[in-house]
Amino acid sequence: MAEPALQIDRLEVDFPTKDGVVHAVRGVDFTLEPGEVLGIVGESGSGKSVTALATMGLLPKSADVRGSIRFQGRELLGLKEKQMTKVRGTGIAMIFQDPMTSLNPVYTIGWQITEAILAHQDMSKDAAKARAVELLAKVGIPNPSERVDNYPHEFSGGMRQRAVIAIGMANDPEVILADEPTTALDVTVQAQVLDSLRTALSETGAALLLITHDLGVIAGISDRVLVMYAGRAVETGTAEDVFYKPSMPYTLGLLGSLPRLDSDGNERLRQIPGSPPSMMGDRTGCPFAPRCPLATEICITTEPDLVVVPSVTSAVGGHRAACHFAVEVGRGDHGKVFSDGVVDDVVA
Amino acid sequence: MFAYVIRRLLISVVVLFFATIFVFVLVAKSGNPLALLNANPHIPHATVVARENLLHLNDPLWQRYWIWLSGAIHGNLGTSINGQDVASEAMSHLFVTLRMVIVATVIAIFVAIFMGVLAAVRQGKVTDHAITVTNFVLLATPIFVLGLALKEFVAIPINQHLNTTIFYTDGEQSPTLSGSFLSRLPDYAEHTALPAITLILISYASWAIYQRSSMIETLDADHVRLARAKGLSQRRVLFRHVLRNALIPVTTVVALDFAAVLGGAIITEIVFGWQGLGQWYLNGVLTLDTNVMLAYLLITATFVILFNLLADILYGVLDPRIRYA
Amino acid sequence: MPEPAAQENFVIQTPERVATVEAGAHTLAGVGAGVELSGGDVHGLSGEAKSQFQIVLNRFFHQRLAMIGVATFVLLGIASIVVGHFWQYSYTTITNNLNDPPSWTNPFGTNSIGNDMFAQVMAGVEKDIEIALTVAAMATLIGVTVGAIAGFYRGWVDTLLMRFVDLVLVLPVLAVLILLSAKLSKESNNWLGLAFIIGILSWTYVARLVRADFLSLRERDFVEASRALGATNRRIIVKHMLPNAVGPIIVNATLTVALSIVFESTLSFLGLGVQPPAVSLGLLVDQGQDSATTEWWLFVFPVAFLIVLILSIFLIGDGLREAFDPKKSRVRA
Repeated sequence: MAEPALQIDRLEVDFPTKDGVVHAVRGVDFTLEPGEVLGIVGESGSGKSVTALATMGLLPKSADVRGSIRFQGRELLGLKEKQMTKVRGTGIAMIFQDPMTSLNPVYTIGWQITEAILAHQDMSKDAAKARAVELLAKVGIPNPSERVDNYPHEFSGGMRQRAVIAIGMANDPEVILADEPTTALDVTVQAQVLDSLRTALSETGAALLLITHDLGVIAGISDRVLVMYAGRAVETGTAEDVFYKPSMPYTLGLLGSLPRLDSDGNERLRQIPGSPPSMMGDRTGCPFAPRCPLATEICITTEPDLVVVPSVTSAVGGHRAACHFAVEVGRGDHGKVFSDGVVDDVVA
Repeated sequence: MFAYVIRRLLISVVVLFFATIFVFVLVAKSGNPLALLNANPHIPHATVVARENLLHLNDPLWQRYWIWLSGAIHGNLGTSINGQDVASEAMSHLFVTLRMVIVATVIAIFVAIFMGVLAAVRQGKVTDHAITVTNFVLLATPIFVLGLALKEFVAIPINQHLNTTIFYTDGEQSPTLSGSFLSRLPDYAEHTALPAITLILISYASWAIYQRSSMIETLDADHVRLARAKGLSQRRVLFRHVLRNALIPVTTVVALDFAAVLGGAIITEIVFGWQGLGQWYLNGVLTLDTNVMLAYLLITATFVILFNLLADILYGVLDPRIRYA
Repeated sequence: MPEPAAQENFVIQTPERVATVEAGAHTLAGVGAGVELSGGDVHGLSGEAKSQFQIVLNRFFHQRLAMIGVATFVLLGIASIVVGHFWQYSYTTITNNLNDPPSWTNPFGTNSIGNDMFAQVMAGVEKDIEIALTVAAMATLIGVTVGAIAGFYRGWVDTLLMRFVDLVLVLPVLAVLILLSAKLSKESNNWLGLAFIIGILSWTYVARLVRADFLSLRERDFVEASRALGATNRRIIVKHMLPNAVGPIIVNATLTVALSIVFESTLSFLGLGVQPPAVSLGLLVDQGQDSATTEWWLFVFPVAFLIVLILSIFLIGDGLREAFDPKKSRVRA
């Protein structure tokens, strides 16, 4: 069997701050197979972006990163900066959230794509520029041969993000990390950008790690899903597993808080009460316990490990959740978990 | 780009025009130019009257302005209180000052950028602290203090120690200097060294502080992160994506500061006894020599506007977004 | 904390609910529309809400260098006043000791006329601070007014005011100061006049700053809201916009204090500023420059105090800037 594109084991990231140490990532494991799309879902502060940045080696020097990150079997943690520059942009590419600021305003789009190409491939400037035009066409930019000489401020937000995707695919990477690629964009533009992303995947055959807090985006494109909370993975499985048989109350809450087209409009949006915990200091018990209506004694004292739960798809052991009552939750009446008693009476 | 340059040029001309009005009103209202002459019993009344007529002091203000301006456009800036031709005096003094100012400004810019980058790249470490502390202390030192301190505590001891004068502290050149330009160069250099160093240290300090904070901000920017994510070498990221962008705000600062540099030149000339434009101006102010004052302010304003124009053009080159503004 | 009994509730399965969930999931996959999760801060630290003023003050007090600056400045200010009133010599007293090096009776020595240098330096400090604070107050007042009007009303008012500012800045401040103070020193010997002159040339920077701030604040929603509630323009400016722009104004005012000491001491050095028998540090440096190597105390003490005074104000200003707008590196989650 082929080497996984990305294998992350026991990843932990700490940031020292003047108020104390922030444990941004507290032990994350996952595998990304070649060509697969893994969606990482979570709120701000869940550690999902930090995980991606750690993979690229782009965290500040003060960050303490422990564990193992293997790209095609090769350990990335501990590599010298010079070696990392040979992986970035060509083995693993990354695109970021805000297209307004991701591109350098003083160079043309074409120049910035060409720069990425020439950093890793040996070709003439003209050849690189031709390739840049090609790439722009692939991501759906109209008039690419003229647009290639535009400056970023002459592109719209969606076009800029697509240009960033073009940069990402320029060197045929094996892995693309996309950190909230659609968050800063209008809904109508999001679809176009996601299309460009799909094109990038089919052109390069790369695996995609898609980080977002937008469940709709995840549902549309992911093969597998990883839900993160407070620096840890709290549920993983195929997209069907996680959406049809959520087995962790947090996941339930995420799904339940979505407004639905099939609701009769009388229901109040269900929110998960409370807010995420502080990432500093040591922790006992499940970090979600303070907000979980199902929390019991054991939830406060012991942090649950990922346990195997029944899967909708056939992959055995593919669906896991970190909850002491994972199996029950997976079987249970999801609608009732976060229901507001008063609202129910009214609706019923 | 061309349209942008033309636009800035036209604006500069307009500003210069209004500046001439401002300058003239300022000088005209600053006192009676005949006062000193009148107070001096040795000067015959006829001379005073002649001067009064020369300056058209009995004409209305706007007429005097027009006479002066039309003369200035033709290169005639009137005569000084001593009967000298102001325009030619101004030119010779100007070249003396320019020697100091141009050398100082150019060197200060380069040193400031270098130090600012160094401090930013080594942020928080000893190098950074040393550079930043030095800059702050320099900034807190008025020019005349620095000039005097360098004169008394650096130049003179060094000269004494080496038993020869390499740092001249009085005047812009040796009085009996002659010969070809090349042979005069070392003498110029030795005389220019100390005043230039004074000006350089003062200007450099504020620009370096600014460059450093501009760099630190840019280092944190999203486009830098993407540049790194593309797998570019550290060196390339630093020069093409950090420095290149961080230079832009500094351009504005240096341009805005140029007037202050010229102001500093006045002091430096006085401390080091240079027969430059600033010292000439101070004398003109003390003797209420109208034409001298007007000439100095006009020339200074012209240079400041010119420099700002250059900075605008440079800004347009560095930042494409501005060209369409 | 929910009781254990809650567990039993959710085990009950209602057919409609289950069906709805499954239907919903299909819908999700098709629509691709997203909803933001209610997020929170990385640091969900609890604490009572502090007013902005308290937060800024807190940050300010935590900066070591700024505190050194404050201590130094306050010390100099108090010392100058105390010495002025209680020291055995006033700065005009003429003693019999001419050109004496520092001693117990004259800690900073004496000058060629016999004045006690300690008294003179302290009097100079007091005068410099006096002038500087007056200038800063004046410049800030004018600058804020002009800047606020220009930024709020925009249009031709703004253009006119700003072009005027540009015009003033075309000439070196020092050159204009020399012109104005020459005229002044012939007419009066009042330091207030000197402060006035420096003040009317120092407001330009503040004006630019406030204008820029107001231009952006103007577009904010709370201004619209105030207007909808019927607030007059003046009320909006003073009660709503100014408090938001206060940070940079204060920092700039501090820098103006420092700058005005530089300007005033330079003018005094040229003989156009504070006139004898009054004393200023710049004047003392001018008087002492020729004796720098011979009677060093006539030069070194004024110079040292001048630099320390200005430096302390810079430190305060920098600390305030950091307190209002911290630039520490942020971690992105």
